[in-house]
Amino acid sequence: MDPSTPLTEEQKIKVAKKMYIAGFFFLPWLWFCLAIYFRKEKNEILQKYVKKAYFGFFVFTFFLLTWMAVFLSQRDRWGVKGDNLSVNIPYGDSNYDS
Amino acid sequence: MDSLSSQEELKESDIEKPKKETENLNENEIENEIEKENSQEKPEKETEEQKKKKYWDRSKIRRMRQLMKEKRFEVMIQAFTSSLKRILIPVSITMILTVILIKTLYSDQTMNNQFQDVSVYNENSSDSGGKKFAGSLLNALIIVGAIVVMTFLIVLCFKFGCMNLVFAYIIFSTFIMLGIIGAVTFIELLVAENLGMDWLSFVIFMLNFAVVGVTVIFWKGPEIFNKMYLIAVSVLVAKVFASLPEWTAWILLGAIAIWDIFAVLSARGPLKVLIETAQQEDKPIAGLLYNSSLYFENDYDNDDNDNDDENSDKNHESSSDKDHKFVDNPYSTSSDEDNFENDTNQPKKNEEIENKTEDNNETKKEDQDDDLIKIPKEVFPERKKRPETKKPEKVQYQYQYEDEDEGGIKLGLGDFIFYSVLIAKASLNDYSTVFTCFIAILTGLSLTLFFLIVYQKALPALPISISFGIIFYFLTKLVLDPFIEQLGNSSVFA
Repeated sequence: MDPSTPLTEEQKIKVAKKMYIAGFFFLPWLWFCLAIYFRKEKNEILQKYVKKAYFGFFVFTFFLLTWMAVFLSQRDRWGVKGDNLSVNIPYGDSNYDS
Repeated sequence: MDSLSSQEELKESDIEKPKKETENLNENEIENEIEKENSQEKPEKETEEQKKKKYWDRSKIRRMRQLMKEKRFEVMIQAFTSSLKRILIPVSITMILTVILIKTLYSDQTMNNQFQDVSVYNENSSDSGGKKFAGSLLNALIIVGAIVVMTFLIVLCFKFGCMNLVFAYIIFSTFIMLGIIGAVTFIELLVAENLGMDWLSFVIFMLNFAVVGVTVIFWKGPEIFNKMYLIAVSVLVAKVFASLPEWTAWILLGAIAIWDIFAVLSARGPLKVLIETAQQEDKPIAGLLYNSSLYFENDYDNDDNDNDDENSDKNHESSSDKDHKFVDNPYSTSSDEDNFENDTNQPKKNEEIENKTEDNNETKKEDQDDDLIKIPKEVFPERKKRPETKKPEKVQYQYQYEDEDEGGIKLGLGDFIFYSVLIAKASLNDYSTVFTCFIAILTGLSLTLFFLIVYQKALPALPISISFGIIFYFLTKLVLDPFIEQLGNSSVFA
């Protein structure tokens, strides 16, 4: 339960595996957490997990950011669909008219 | 009386000889003591004289412990300065983040009370002072009552070993809290900053935030993530509490501080019981549980003042019980028994039954041994950790306290939350109250830390800080603000 307790190599590998698998459920932040957690480990298996996790995190983040950029720039064109997808619709600035 | 004189000898030798030697001497003395006590235990029943002698031995050990304590005092002051940094920085970060959050969200709009539906009394600005006071007292008491009931339930579960239930509840509630309060705050931030976002990425963000938060707080994760999430939890909860109406919030803060005094300091206070059981049984307390208390993790002196007499009484009672059983196999140690078992295979069934009874005896014997051995360990806590280091004493102490600094002095999450509530309430007024309350809370906290070092037992962290905070809030609001306004009007600083 305590995150600060030291782990043995086997336990570390188990933890890394669990975190890595859980990351596939749309949890890139967990991958990043894993990568930070085991970044200093010299064990090869752990290093593999760290690399995979970094890779997964950056790929997921890339796609997410791309989607967000597309959404934010294209929202007005999508009309009602875009509005329904929005959490918050920012109001325009009256001084700035394109 | 023998033991008394030897005690005096010990004292003299303590003064004359260098420290290292005295430590050895002390150890030898204590080992002799144990042998003596062991040899005393073997014969049939305790006579009055033996009881008396036992009492003297115990008092002697207690006095020796006192001596060790004095030596440790210097090191403790050093520990104080380093622990100050470790505690004050996260508290300051939490408070600053809370102020930033509150100022961003509610700089131009008033906060709507999130407790409106559940609170008994809703404040109206037109109500009379007495009505406001009575109503908000009722509100505050209900909230404190809920906290009290929950604390008792958790402590009961902790005592009776059904921690899984508590953990399940706490993990679930943390997840819900991070998810829902986090989401609400996030939406409010988006609105306040006039930013657009879509539901898909919003859900992914919040899911990641909540799941990783729970993982890191309750399972495994990098330490920095753990700390960040604890701070985030405090800020979020503080934000919710800050939405309470003015009077209710201040009365709630006072009531919580008073409850904290009771919970940590009174003999049957739930938090005290919690901390003591955790220390005795070496169970770790999960991050969110150890509310509102500062304590040393490796603090052996904690219970000697209160429980020593009780313990010795118990020992007397139980030892008289045990002695009868003890006589049956006084010399059999566990290793002997193991060998015996391995050698003879034939009469196993009978032996097993015998072993069972022996096991019972043995466990009891071990208990008793533990009682005896515990005392020297308490006198020399560092021996438990590294028994064979031959470094000079001072270095050993430093190691010990460095160890303690790693995770030594702990501040409950409840303290973080209520400091932040106070500072959030202050930030709803003006920046002047923010600064005075900030300084007041940090001063109170460092005072509490100092008392912790001096008294060496778990202390409530809320009362000093909160009372300082409340005093300074109202002083600033009623005295300093008009004064500064006056100065501004007459353009003194211009």
